[in-house]
Amino acid sequence: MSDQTHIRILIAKPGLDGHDRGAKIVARALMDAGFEVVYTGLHKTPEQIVESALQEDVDYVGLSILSGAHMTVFAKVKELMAAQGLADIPLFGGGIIPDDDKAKLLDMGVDAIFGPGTSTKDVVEWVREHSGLPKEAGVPA
Amino acid sequence: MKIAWPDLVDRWHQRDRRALARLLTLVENDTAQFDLLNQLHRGDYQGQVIGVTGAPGVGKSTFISRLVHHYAERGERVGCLLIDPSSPFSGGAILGDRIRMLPEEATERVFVRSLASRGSSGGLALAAARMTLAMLHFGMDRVIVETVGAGQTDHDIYHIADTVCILVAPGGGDHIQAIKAGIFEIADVFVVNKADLPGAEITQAEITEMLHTFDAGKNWTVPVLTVVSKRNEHMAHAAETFDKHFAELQESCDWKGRKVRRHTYAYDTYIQFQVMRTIARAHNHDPKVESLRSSVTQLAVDPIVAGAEAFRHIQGKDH
Repeated sequence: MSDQTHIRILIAKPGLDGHDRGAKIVARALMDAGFEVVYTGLHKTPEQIVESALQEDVDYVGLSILSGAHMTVFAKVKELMAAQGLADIPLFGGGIIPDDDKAKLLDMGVDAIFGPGTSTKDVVEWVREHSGLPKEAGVPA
Repeated sequence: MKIAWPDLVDRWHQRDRRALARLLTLVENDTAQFDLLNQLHRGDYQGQVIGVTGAPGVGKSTFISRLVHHYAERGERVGCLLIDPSSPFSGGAILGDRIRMLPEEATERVFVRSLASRGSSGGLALAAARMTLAMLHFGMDRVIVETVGAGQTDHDIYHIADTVCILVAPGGGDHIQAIKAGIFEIADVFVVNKADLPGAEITQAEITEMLHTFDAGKNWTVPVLTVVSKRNEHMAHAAETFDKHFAELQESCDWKGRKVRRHTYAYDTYIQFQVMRTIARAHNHDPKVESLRSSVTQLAVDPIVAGAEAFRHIQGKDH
């Protein structure tokens, strides 16, 4: 058993998008890196996602969006998080997100976007760095 | 690191869900100050703890989601603790039990929290008892705890629940296997889920028969129900049965006994958690202990001799 604090990450699939392989692969990679991943399953509304983030008191919220609806969904989730007093939780995401939109999302205040071509290693490294964990992957005993 | 906000106590007493969420985190990680706990855990609580256990795949999550929906529609406040196993390799976990929870319109009344077992065996996380107490003190009418679902080894639920519900599915002989594992002694209610599948009535009859041999003169005769939780069939009857059991506990004064069991288990598991953490810390920060472990990994010493020396050192007995 480790003496480190456990980082909890919500991975959510909003809306009509039924492609969950990417989300599951990212969830698995995060689990293998020692994080606790709350996976919401498919077809969740922004309201349900934010309510889950609230109840689970997560350290990060990640959205997987392959439907093209990312601009609306991210904006809505950010708005609801702020309304629920969760604006301090870092928000990231991935899926089919063109570079132009990625830039706009980052401007909007989304903390990171992992588009097509990025690897799960990138996501894991970002979380480790963002949460101040050492570069060396220390596997809990 | 998550902290207790200055107004956490006030928000808690106003039944702010965010305060519950934050306290659950503090309690799970053991970073709550004790005077905070004393302020929040005041007085007695009235809610019922229902423990749901059973082998993987019998439908615990679906059953619980229907149960929660039933209680919420009646205007009750329901809290859920859904436990999934941590990876023994990475220490991480995928907590996927939320997936099957129905969307609840009445979010003010339903609170669902996932937790990882964090190395604990026995079906629960070491933190489960103290997180259950937090939900009870928050004012939940029902707290439903779902175990990891290794099936036959999930006995710990007996120590925190008022009502232990064992879920089985038809056929497969799990109930025959279960008799070997002490499950019959801890059950208050048996539920045969997926009763639309062949063999459900036979399973129900076989379990009923087996229960006769365990009927150790209890006030309560353990019923064996059938439901099809995915179609919400007979779920109201299941809920009524849990109500009846709770009423029986209160009338027979066994309710106090369950509370004593729960509080004792919370105490025991908290101490166990502290011991394990002390040992982990020693292995990360104490050079003598680290070097003893390292000699074991080099096959240079007998593991028990090294372990005894390390433990003596951790206890401070080797000066």
